[in-house]
Amino acid sequence: MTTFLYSFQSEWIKLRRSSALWLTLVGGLLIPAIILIARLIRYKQTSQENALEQVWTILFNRCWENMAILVLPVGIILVASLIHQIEYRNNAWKQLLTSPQSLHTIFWSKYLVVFLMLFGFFILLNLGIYLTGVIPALFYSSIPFPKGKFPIAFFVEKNLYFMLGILPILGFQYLMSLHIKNFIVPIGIGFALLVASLIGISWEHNYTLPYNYAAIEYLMGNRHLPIQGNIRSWAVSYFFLATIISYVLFLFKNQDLRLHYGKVLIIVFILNLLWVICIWGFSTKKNITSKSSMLINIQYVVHS
Amino acid sequence: MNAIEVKNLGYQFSKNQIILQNISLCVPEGSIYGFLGPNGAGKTTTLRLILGLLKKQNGDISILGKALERNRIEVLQKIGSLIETPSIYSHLTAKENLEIWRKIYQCPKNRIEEVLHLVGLEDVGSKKTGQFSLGMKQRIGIAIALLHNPKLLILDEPTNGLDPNGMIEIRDLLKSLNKNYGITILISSHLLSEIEKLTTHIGVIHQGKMKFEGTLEAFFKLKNESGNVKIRTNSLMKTTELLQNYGISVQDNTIEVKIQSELDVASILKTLITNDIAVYEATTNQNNIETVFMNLIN
Repeated sequence: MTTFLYSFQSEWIKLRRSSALWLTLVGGLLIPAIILIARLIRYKQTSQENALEQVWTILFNRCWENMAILVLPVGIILVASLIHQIEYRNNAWKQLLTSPQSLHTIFWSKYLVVFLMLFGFFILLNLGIYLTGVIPALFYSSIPFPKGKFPIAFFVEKNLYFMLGILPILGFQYLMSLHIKNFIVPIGIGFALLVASLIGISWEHNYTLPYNYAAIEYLMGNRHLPIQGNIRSWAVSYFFLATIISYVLFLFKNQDLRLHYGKVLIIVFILNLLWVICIWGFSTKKNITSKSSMLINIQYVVHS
Repeated sequence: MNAIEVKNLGYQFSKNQIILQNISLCVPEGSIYGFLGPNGAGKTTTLRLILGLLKKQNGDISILGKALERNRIEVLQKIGSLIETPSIYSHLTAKENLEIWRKIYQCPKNRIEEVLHLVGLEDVGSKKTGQFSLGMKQRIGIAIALLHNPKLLILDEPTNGLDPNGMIEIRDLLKSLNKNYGITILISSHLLSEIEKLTTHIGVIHQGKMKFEGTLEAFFKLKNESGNVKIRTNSLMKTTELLQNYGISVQDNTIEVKIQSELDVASILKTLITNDIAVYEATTNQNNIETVFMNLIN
């Protein structure tokens, strides 16, 4: 445990002044800052808004409108890729892999750093939302402080769902950027998958598209958006799948995979099987029809 | 005791792409072992296998008396390494870079200042390592390798890309580490002159096979043992007849005779003089280190 703690601390130091850290800071505060500026400019409307009971919900939705569909997925794609670029760009993998720590420690301490950055991103975003409500009242005497009580439970619940929705992107981007040296490739694939997922958002099986869940989470309740599957279960399942594949491949990182291809394929196949069982268990009874399409999708993933 | 013992090490990327064949090498404790070979000979692959960066396919690797496979973490705690280019986070300062490895190796905080002083970089301040010269980066790389007081240093071409002054600095540093701290050093290079000036033991690898292993003296003995002597006499025909037992070649009025040792020169001259041949000129041309190396790998 001590080794893991020190390993995690060392990973944290690497983030200082890194682009990944700046991206998290800027990404978390960008949308609230834009909304804040707009609220300061349109202070009369802000005054009316702050007098409403549901002002916090309005601000929350306004921020997430842009965040869920584009900014957050793009941010996650970039951050997950940039984290591993710190090692690749500085030729540091070899030094890290010859340090006296197990491959498990290296993998999970890096993963924890990415998670904490995601967590930090959400904290900053919510802090930003809070400030968009409060700051205008400090600038203009005509603007009251938000009338409604800050709905902590609502914020926590919604944030949790958005976080679940973004996990598959994090998992798959982490997987790709860990194993592909050229960071343009995972970023390019990530953007392509995001665009493809957004195009397919109105598809009846949109719940099978792993880069879609944050957007669906935001659009939930829109009657034009068909949602047949339990997207949160799908999101968690995709995330576990990506993480496990990533982990297994990392453990084989020091070996010539071509000589162990059979072993790797068997492990990945078993993990996929577990994933199928896992997601089958998660799915609700009313979505039996969607399960068959899910299996088709799994087979497609395995073959591809 | 040997710091590193490698027996029958083999490695291949595919069935048709064999990189190492039955490599065996012994690095005695307290030595500076120069691992020589042309580019693509298998030096880096051997070092990567020794460090566990590549999974061993066959053979045995023992470091400081322990098998690497079964004691990976324990063994790595005693090794400092610098493989090819130094692994330095360019957006961080020298101290921040060292702090990363200090956390992992769990060393005391004052070790950072100590190793910076040791490599002569105590005054770099808050300058980011991305702005360092190549020589400074190499020194930081060595500082990282030294941070946890390793018993064994494994360096792969540490003077690559350095100017002559930088090469001398690194060489002096390594000599002093070996002499003052008793650190065993395994250093790979394709620069013969560097190895000649630094090492106590030499291993030569070519096309994945070990061609020579021994002390520097043994290597120099090879150098002294072979060469040629150019002789000009008053009778080319008679001289050629007398020296038939040696490998000879004739160019203009000069005979070039292959010799195995300096004793051969005395013997040749004695033969000529006792046969009343006037020797006008006898020039020995002993092999230099490059020729010995080329003879070994060819």
